[in-house]
Amino acid sequence: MSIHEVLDFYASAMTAEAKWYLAALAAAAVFAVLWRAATAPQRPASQEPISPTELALLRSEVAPVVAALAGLRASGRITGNGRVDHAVPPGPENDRFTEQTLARVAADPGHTVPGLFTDSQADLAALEERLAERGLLRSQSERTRMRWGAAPSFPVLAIGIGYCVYLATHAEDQPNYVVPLVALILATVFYSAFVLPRLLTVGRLTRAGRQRLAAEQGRLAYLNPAERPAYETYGPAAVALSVALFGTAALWAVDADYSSSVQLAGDSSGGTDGGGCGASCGGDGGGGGCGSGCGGCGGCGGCGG
Amino acid sequence: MTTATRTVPALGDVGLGWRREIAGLIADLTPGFCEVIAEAVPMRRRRARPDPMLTALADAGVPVIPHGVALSLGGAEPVQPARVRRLTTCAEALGSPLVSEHIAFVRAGGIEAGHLLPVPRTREALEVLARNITRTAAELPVPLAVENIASFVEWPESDLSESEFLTELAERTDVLLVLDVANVYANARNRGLDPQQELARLPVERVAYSHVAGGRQGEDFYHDTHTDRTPPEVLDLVTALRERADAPFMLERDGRYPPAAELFDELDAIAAAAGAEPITSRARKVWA
Repeated sequence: MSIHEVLDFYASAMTAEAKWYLAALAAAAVFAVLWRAATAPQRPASQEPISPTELALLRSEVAPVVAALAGLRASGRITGNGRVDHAVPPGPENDRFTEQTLARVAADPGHTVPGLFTDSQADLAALEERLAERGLLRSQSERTRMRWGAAPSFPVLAIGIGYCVYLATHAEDQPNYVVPLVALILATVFYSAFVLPRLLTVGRLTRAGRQRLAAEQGRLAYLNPAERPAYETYGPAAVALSVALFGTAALWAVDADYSSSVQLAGDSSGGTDGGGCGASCGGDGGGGGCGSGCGGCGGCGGCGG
Repeated sequence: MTTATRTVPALGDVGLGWRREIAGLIADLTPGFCEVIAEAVPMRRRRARPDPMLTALADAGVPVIPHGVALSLGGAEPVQPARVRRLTTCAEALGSPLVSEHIAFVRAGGIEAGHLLPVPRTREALEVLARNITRTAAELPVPLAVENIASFVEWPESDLSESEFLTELAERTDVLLVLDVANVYANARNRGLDPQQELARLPVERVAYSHVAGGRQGEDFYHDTHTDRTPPEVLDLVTALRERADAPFMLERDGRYPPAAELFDELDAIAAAAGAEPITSRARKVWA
């Protein structure tokens, strides 16, 4: 039997209803894609300056809270015991969301990141709206609207599953139902497992948002905790930016005790800033770093080089 | 008094050690040159792969000098070819005008000291150093400069003064010098000598550039830490050296990095002591 004959056999074995179902599934997928394209926000991306907490929101939903805390702790506006020092003036990194976070911290010296995240939902939504207006992010409502395109898939799948049940219960009397039954089960499982999840997934970032985040991570790569940046030198804004772009390690490096007290994710093992052996320690054997006093370069005698 | 001419014209007046911890800040400075620890430059397939920010600096025309710490020029054993190759590949990758190392040994009998150890100032040590320097210089694509180190110990058999030792070394090998004025200060202070007089005795005609760094007084000794602000006495040595030689100066800072403004102040202080233009004007605006 040639391949052509095999295909003819299976095509003729399919019932008309089965063919309609497969066509409806395909149509539902095409509709979802077209709907998605039609409802995607088309705002031009703004290139205006972006604050650390805004950048953080491009990376994750909780990151703005941590970025705000990092900048505030590094500047000393939040003290090591979680209180607010009103004598310290705000820095350039302090945007609206940061001030809102500071107000919450002032009201609750025992604050935690999870608690602040829960309490900040309204402010985070507003921040999200602002970034959506700038074409960097899709708001929750926009993402929901884009997902509606997948809605027709559900009744189609329900009908298909019902028809599969019908075929299965009659397959004993009608052997010619076996081929369409197997084909429909395979199609339904494939659609449910692989196609539908993709149709329901809408990324938070627009293409411009992804590009902006990647560009900032490249431009400020020296703030990656893996590079052991000297946060004291770069200042509080850089600490906030490091958290915004690369995660919590910068805040752990600035104040591990405070980080622990606010239940910050991660731990103090990453992103530490210290003497290091950046210079003339001599040889491969060790030296504890020029900045470490005894045990550093030249033994207890400093660097020597 | 005549002033010795600049031995490496490619170098600008004031530079600093390139450290990845402050690479973002250095990118906004306008240094006359930078120095990078050669052993800190990653190697892959026997080729140097410098940090992209360091490469960008070199591409922008800033001379970058690989500074070795593990060659052990003062060791009785011959220098290891792989370590010379590292200096070579670093120099080639960065388009360096010269490379530098220390007048010291860091290993002996298979044991790595992990520190720069002083060599005795004797004829025998001079022979060893001259042999290793000549061998190294012959394999390098650019000139070699060697640096005086700080040390607490004085070998009892030393029979040459530091000036005699450096002068003869430079004459015998034609090597350039990295004159670390902070080390001159540390050694003089710890031995109860006058740093200005010690500096005045040193040969300056072969100086390629000069290191400047801070330190602090410990219980017994002054420690050349590279983590503290440069003291005024070292800045005075910068001025004194600059009066005798057209030497470029660079700040060595290796940890406990201060806020940007303090680092800029320190660089400006070195520039002022050397009678040079500051390299911080642009960076001060960026990091205001």
